[in-house]
Amino acid sequence: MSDDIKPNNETSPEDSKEFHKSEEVKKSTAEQSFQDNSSDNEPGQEGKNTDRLADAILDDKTSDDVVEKSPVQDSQEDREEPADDQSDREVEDKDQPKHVKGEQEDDTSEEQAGPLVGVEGVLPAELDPFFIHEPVKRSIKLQVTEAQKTQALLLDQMIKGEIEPQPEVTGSKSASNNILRIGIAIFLLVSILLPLSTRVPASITPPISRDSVSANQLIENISDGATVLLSVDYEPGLSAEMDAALASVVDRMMMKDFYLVLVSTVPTGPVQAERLLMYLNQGGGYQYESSENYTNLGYIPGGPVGLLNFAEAPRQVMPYDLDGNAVWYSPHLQNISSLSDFDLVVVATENPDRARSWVEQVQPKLGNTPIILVVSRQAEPFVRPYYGSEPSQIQGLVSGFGVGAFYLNSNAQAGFSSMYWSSLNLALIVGGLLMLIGAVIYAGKSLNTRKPE
Amino acid sequence: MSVFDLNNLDLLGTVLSFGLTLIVFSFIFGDNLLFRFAIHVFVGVAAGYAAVMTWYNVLLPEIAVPIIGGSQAERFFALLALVLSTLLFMKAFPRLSGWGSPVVAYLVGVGAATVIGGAVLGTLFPQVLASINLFDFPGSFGNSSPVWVQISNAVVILVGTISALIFFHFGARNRHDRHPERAAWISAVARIGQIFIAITFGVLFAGVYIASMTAFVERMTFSANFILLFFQL
Repeated sequence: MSDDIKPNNETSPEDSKEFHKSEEVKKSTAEQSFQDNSSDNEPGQEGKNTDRLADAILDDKTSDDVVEKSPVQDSQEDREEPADDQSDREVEDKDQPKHVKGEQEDDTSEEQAGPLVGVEGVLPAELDPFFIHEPVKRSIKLQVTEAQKTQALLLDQMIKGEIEPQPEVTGSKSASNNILRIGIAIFLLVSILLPLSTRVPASITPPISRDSVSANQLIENISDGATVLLSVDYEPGLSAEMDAALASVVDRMMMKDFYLVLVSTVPTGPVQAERLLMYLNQGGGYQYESSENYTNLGYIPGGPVGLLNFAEAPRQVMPYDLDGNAVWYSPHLQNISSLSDFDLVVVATENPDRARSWVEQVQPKLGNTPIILVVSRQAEPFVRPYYGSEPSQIQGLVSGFGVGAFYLNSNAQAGFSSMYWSSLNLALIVGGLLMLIGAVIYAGKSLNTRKPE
Repeated sequence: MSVFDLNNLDLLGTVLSFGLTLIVFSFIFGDNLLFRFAIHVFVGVAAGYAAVMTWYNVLLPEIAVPIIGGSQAERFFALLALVLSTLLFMKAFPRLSGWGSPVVAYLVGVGAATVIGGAVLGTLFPQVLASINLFDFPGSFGNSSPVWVQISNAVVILVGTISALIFFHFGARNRHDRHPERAAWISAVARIGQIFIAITFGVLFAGVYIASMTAFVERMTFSANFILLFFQL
């Protein structure tokens, strides 16, 4: 495999005919030279240059006969590369323009015929094949170490392995895998069901965090009956954690009789929001009704672009609620023309990208309106810099189930958190211990495997 | 209260939810037909719901209503959106897919401009400013933290930021008769950055683990409560 880019010869047949008529001597020389040049191009070479980068990464692999080569390729490579050093030298040589016939003639030679006879440096009237030469070639061979080559090979194998069907594990290995899987499941099930069956109250209380306290204070400082934009941006798959965290905050807002405007950038978000309010109505004894106490504007399409559009012109982007009513002229929303007119914005999401979109696209348009993010534990590390920075870009952060549980215990009337706090704690501990045991066993096996080497 | 106190719709939903939960948990015994059935049901329901939501929440109010009863300007923009959407739909047919390319180009261009602009102005600049402000000790972390805590935090964040960035610097100087290597000081700082990155991945994994376990516990709690209610225990 060559390390160089070999350009295509693009001289048209018509041009060649012109030369043939006028300069017979040049013709034979040029043809010979073109043949020499084109011998570098294998049939079908065109279009393969794009694969050179990948080939260059795996250069050693292919040169070590990992890939079987055709006899033509073998003979080609025998000429080109006994070793990397030689190919490098070739690259350096080919960096210099290679003329078809010897050295380039002196540009200042005198004109021999015509009205300009005797004048030096005259541009030729027709294309001179003697000046046709290969363009300068650049090597794209990657300068990588052996370790990097090994890692690239490993990555290549991993990617290829993803699309290849895996052989079915049979026999004793399959049985042991099943036993292991069932054993782990039993451990986790027992750790979850034990606190539920014994109805043990939460023995470990969630930590009191600065975040939840400041979020609580923020809501407390807003007057009763305020208008709040609430975005329910999480998928049903993680609703267990998000419902628990968000229910505590929404419950507090319902206690203060806030008017809620619900939106979502997830298609399933509007129904998630309705379900949450229904649960809180049942658990907290509220009577939140659509249009009287809240409005569900539904789904904002378009991802970050749609969100930016909504931030700039909410009335135009979401003119109707889920029932098709023109809601912006209702008494609660008639004074809202931009997002900065809301008293508070609350965004609940498990996805760090969505949280970032709200901060990047919407937060700059909020003016003095504070924004609280209610996020999953898995999104918290991505979102925390926005909260912990100085100046902070978000004014409140409620993360995950634990903080939601604290929030619930300290403020609200209804919520999910207390139901399975003990089970979650025990399951997390048991799961962590299982992972630790697995890591120790795997490390021991690895050490035993390496000993003979 | 028992499950029979629920109305018919709630009862049906609860029983379906319990059944599907059990079917998904059957994956403990390996991949099986019931598990695949549950997955297909989930995908189908999610796609169907998204389609209905798109119709009622996007197409109907943004396209149909303006064309039928909107002003002249609203009709124009709705028709323009309809035409562009139709062209985009051509992407589904290989022979006509070229018609949709300008629309795709427009979407990609606008999307990239929005995201990049937001990232630069909404994340990069504010976070750089915040990193600088870390060394404004009277102002950072409030006044309650001791100065040595503020200094420690600032230094850790600064070292972590710089070393993690340097870890992704792969430039190397070409040397005669040796493989190109990174400068020694870059390698040393990159190793520190590697530690910060490993800690970050650990934190992310812990978050995913807690979130997944919460979902598992919630489903188990639901199932246990359903059984208790069903048998009126």
